[in-house]
Amino acid sequence: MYKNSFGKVNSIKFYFFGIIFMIGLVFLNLGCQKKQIASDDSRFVYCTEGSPSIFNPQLATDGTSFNASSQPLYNRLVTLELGTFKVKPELAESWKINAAGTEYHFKLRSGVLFHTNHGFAPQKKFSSQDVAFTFNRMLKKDHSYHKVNGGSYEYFKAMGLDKLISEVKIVSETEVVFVLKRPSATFLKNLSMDFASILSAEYAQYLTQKNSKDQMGFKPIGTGPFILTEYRKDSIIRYASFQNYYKGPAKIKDLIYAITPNSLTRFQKMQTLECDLIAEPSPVHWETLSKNPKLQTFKQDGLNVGYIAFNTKLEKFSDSRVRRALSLAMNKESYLNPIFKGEAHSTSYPVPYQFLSLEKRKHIYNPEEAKRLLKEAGQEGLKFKLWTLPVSRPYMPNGKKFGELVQQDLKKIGVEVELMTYDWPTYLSKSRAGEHEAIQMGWTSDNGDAENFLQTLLSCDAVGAGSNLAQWCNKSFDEFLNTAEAKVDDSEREALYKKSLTVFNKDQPWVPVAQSKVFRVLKKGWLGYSLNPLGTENFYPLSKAAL
Amino acid sequence: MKSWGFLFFKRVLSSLPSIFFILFLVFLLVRLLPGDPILALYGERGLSEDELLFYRKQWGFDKPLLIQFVIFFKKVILYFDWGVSTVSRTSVLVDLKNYLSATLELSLLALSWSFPLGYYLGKLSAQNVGTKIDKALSQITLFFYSIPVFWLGAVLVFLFAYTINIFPVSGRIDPFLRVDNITGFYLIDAFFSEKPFQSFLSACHHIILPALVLGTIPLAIIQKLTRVSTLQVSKDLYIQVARSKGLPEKKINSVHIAKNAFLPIFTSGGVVVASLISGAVLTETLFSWPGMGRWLVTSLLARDYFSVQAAVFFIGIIVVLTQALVDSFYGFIDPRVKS
Amino acid sequence: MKLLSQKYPMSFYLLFLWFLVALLGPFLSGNSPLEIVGESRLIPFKSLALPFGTDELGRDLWSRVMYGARLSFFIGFCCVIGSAVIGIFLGALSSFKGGIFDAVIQKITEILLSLPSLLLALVLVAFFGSSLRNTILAVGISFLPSWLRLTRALVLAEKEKSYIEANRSLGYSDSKNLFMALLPNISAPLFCQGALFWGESILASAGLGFLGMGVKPPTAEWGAMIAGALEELFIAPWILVLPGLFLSATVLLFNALGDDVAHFMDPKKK
Repeated sequence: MYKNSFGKVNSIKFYFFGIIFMIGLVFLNLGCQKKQIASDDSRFVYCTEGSPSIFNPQLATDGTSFNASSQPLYNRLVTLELGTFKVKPELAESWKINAAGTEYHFKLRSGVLFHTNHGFAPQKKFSSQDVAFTFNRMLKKDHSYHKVNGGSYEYFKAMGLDKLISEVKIVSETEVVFVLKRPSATFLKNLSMDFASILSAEYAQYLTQKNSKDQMGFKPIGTGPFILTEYRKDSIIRYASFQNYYKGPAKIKDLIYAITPNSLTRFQKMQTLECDLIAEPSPVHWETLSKNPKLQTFKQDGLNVGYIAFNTKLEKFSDSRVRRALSLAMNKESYLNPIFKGEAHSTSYPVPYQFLSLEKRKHIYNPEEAKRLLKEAGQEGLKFKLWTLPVSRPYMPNGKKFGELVQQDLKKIGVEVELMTYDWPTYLSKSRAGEHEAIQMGWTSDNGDAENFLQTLLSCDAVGAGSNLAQWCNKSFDEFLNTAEAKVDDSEREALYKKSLTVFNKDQPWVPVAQSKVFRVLKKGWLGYSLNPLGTENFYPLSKAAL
Repeated sequence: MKSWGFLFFKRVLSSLPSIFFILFLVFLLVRLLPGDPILALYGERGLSEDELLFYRKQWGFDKPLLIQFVIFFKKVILYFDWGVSTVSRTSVLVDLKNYLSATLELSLLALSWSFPLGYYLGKLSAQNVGTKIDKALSQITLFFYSIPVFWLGAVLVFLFAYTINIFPVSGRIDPFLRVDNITGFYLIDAFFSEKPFQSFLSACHHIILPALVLGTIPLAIIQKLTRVSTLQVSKDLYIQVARSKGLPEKKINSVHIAKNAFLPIFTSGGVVVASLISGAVLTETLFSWPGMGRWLVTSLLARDYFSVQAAVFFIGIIVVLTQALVDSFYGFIDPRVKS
Repeated sequence: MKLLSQKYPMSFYLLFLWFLVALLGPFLSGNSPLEIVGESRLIPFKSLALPFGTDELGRDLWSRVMYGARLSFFIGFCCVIGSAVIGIFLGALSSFKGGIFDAVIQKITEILLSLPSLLLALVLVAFFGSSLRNTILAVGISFLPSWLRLTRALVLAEKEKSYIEANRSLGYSDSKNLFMALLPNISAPLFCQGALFWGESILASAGLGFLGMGVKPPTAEWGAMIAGALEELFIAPWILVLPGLFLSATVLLFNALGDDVAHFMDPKKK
């Protein structure tokens, strides 16, 4: 036995002190943090789930990018009133539509300034030139900025504006006319969407001169209430209040997006009050967050639909009886608790119920009938691959788990389902190319209109565009849509869309699954926040309550 | 007169075949993918036909495999062009630098507590070989070696980030503490930031749990190694001689045994690094620590093959070079090793 | 019989017990690991029908853990047998024969060892698809170089011994000499290594499952279960803790087994 008591004691002391030091460090940090949390009345921290793909909303398609760009940095010609979805003026003061419905004459607001940032100081104020630049860039393939930053204006195309707008005419400094090829009931509403944010023509010139056109997407200049001061990918986005904002400067002086992809972390940070706002916490955490007295929670029926689309071009899914069978075999009500913790309702409509004043109905679960239908269609022993959503969305918080539930239900009628998934960008691009058999997807309303769902996701045109994941083209369905689009009266349109739904229900290209609630959690003490069911975050109206 | 640099150089030379193999493996893997490799590298982000054709020519996909490899080799080794990540849209090498320093920081911290502790426990075991202390210590290290690192981390998160809220769940630092990327080590860069003290504390706060968890692996390995090595050395003849000479036990331990036992442990550096990297892949994923391990996993899942190529290659290089470093050091220190 | 009268180390009994549990365990609750049997996130130890409660989708957690045990046994077994057979065969042959063949094998081994095993397994699975078969292949392949190295070292040391030379002069062919005479004498450390690798391959495949690259859902695999339970960690911790506990216990068992096997088969070793 060769003991060495000396050495032992020394080493023990070393470790002892090391541990004490570490613990002390930890508590010190805690103390410092607590102090910081109590302070800042003009600083707002939004803990967001991801990094924006670009700061130019014309080129983005995801809510994360929009919330980082179009919402704080830009304005649009018009905006939608919360709750009513009525079109209200923003950068356009007023507008006149000609009798044919093909010319929209906008009178623009004067005295609106663009940001001074990134070495650029605007000499001109907002004018029709900026509107023309913004839309011509997307419209004209030979425009000098068309190909800059990639050139794929997906929303512009998806809303049909590339085929709809014939030209954008500058009438005067404050007047601009949009000439359309045919009337459109939703044109104004579409101008309120993120992709229609107004860019600065002068800044475009400035960048051209400096030979750095691509900075348009990364060093943004807009008219919005905040200017971009810092961006660290996967870490943080910082904004400062724009002092010359046309509505008056925001009360929040320092706006921070803390990029925290891990939902457990966001939950923890909200509980410790390090975040001021989180959006769409996992339904699993909702209850705990609601009980926290230091937090205020917002909950509302969302304007979304989560669904499973069947690729109807495939033989196995070409018979509508097969699709109806699969729908009957899914016990949708049983999914609500495990996946949504009850904060959703099952739906069989491809549209949020609010849009067409539809009734919420419980889903009919009938596996026997399902088996019968399958047999009739000759597809007993059906096997297929289901793609599961790789990201968390309010309409599908956990695609993988949801897929497992579907797997189990379909096994009971003898159908074998294989689950697979891809990373989000690949998932999107492959689905657009129609490479799937069955796929989970969803949609959140962009503009409060049913057309946004039915046209974009289920029309014949949409098959070519790639957004109709069922690859389903039904002439009578489309007829209803086309007729409705030409009408201006909302109640007439509603009636027509309702009729189209009966076609949908008979054919079942999708199984709509659920329409979920949307959640926000905000630290107590902030006033002026409202949950926008379209998913956009606007921090301009927020202010701290007077203590 | 051997210089260490010379030894290191020689050792690196002899590991060139390994490096070459790793490069070839990396090259091969992408080309072995089912489907069109060009599409895999670029295509899923929607490039036009013209651009695809251009890249196809650039990488030589229309030519035989060997020529492809030559092109690849030239691009990657001579021009250092590893491509652009299809996910982050930035140069892969830039990403590499950021993620590498994150992993280095974590690994060094993990080693800083596990190496001395493991060494000490190993020595303790060896000195009290056969007793309850030895058995107990062996059980403990066995325990740490067997626990999956990602589970241990999750349990610790539950206990110390939720039940008792004293640690953060993930990340490197509070996002609203601005720390500029100078060395890439947040613990150091904190002192160059606006709020040095707070930033340093926050960085500490975030690194403690992951470093604790990651360190359990080398702890077990080093403890075992030290024990075995010390036992072997203490049986050696010259130790018996020293004892019979009447030298004090303490001196024997610290001078003769320790010095000689230490070296084999040191040379197992390659093994320790390899296991650290495996552990890092899991730990970083769990804690969302933005390091090489997590980069590899997310790049694989996102099919960002440019990043995968670089991640695999550079991780392999690190292991190889560490072993070379350690071997050359050993050769330098140990007078018995002939050059 | 000698087999029955010998005193076996504790871990042997535990292994046997564990094997029984994995085989028969699922029958205790009688539920399938894939079926949704009840409400989600039910607390464990409250009822005998659901001893471990339910997971986040309402599946019987006990059943899933038990099936996970079976699966990990199977994976460990396949990986070890597969890589051992090839590794030992190649390693023994090359070091016994010597020459260029040996030099090549040695170089290959050295090169393969320069990559961390999890990394190699990860890359293989990611490229060739995640499935049970690929997981076993990937993990098995990643352990191959270690077998090669170990066998080489053992055979190299052993082949200098006098009995090998004696056999040769008796007219033994090289392969007979190697496989009939030499190998049995180095079997102790090989078995020890086998047990250790069994544990390590279970750990490796769980790691792959955790990263989402291993066995596919809804199969009850411990690593994947732990990953899935992360989201629920704060409100239903048992979904994560229980599979992990069993995983750790299994790996611990095999690691202890490794040491015990070495002692058992070779009482001279300390």
